Amino acid sequence: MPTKATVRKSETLSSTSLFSDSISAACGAYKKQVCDDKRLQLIDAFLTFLVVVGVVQFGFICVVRDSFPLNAFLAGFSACVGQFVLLMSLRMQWVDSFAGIKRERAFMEFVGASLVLHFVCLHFVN
Amino acid sequence: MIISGHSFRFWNLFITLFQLALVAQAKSASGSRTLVIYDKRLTDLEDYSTLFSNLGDRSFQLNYKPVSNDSTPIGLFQGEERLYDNLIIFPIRSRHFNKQLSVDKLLDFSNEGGHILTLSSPEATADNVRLFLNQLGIYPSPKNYHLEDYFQSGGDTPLRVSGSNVLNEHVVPSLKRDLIYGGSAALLDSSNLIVPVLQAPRTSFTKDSQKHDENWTVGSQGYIVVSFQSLQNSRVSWVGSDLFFNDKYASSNGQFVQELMKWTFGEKSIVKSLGARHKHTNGLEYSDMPYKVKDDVIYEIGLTEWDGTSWAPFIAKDIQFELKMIDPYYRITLKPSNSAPTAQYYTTGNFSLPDHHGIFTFTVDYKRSGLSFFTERDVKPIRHLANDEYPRSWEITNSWVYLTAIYSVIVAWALFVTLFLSFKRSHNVQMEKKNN
Repeated sequence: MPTKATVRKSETLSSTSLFSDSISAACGAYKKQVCDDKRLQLIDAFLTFLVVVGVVQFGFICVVRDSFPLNAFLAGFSACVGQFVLLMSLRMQWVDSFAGIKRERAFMEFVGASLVLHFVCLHFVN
Repeated sequence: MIISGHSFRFWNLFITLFQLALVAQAKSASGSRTLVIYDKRLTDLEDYSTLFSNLGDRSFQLNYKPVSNDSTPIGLFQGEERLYDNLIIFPIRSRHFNKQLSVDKLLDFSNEGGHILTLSSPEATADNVRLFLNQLGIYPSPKNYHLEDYFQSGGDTPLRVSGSNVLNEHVVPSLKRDLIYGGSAALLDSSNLIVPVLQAPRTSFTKDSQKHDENWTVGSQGYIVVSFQSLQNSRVSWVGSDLFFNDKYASSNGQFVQELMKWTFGEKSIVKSLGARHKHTNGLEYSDMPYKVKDDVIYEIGLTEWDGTSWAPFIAKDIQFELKMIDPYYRITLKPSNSAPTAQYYTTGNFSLPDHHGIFTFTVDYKRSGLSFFTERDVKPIRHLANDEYPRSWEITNSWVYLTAIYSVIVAWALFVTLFLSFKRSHNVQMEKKNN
């Protein structure tokens, strides 16, 4: 008969192994999805870039401890967030297009929405 | 009120003419027509010859009105116009005095800018004068109450009061000698308009000579010379002793009496503003360029004081300017700037308007016990910045970070779109195959 302690130990062992299994499975699935599609790689690179730029702006506010041109910060930060959201919706439609909407149409919608976003941000920053 | 350069000069000229007229006629800044009301049975005017000759020397026109048993009203007004500028009321015992000169008449006279000097004595305290003084917050002791001090020789001999304990230097400068006083004392209200001048000695008290154990004042609670200045700058003085003004004691009391009368009849401690102005630091007036938030402005005021013969510069260190919108946003102690022969000008120096738009009041409100009051007020709006007066984003260094972020996102987006389209042909087929 195994003691309670050994049972608990084996449970924890199995859960960590399950977690690492699922992580590696997710990584594998992602690599498989991305490896032979350069557009998805490009989208993901752009997404990463947007995250980095957003974090840099927020970090700047934290470092100088002054949100003085607040409208400028909001414009810069929302440019990153908005572009991220638009890009993510493009990615979702590119991987698995929505019913009744072609990929080309999704891409053109992305381009139009992005132009509106840039226009708004440039005017908001004054 | 803001005065533009032209009318400012005109105002100065007007004041100079006004001064000349005053110097030629009288030494009081307000007027010299004086009515003396006295009771024939109590007061022999011969006993006060020093007093009246002094007033005559200072160009006062004295009119005498003896009060006896007839009850013809004493006219202080003709229509709505004052007939006299000053009123001296000696102790009066007549029963008809109440009808001859009502309390309302006295109050009207004071409200219209007339100055009143009242004397009373324990033997004769007229009800109308008492009620009038009660309205001001001065409560003289009633009939038969005498100020006594057992530490001095008691009985009927008058008291000696130190002249160095004068409570207000603007009314009477403190004197080295003792004053002779015999009469009543008053209790005072806590009103700010009352100017106590002389306090009863600490060891004195006011006792009813008829009944025992009845006191009106005890110790320094009582006041023997009290003045009052209304918000219209009309002045009232009360002295609880007619003996105080008597020729017999002129050698000791003369100077005090003269200073007290000078103050009461507006011959000194009269301060006046010659007008205040405010403008941009660069010299532009409000009419040229209305104020907006954070503008640099400067405020100036000219003050002058009547010293009995001429208008002289008024010197003080406690004049404050206030910029108010409900609360004071600024309270600046004014500094002396340039001085003229008749006026001293004061300035705030440069200060920048608050970062708050609204309707502001530029004001100097100077109210000091013993000096005449003046108020300068000017209401001006301060506007907020127009939308093209804010700094552009690139003028603020902090926003360079955010600007860089936006433009990098746009450039990256443009790159992304071109690359994405260039990839499109080669991979489209594969994707379609996958989905199919």
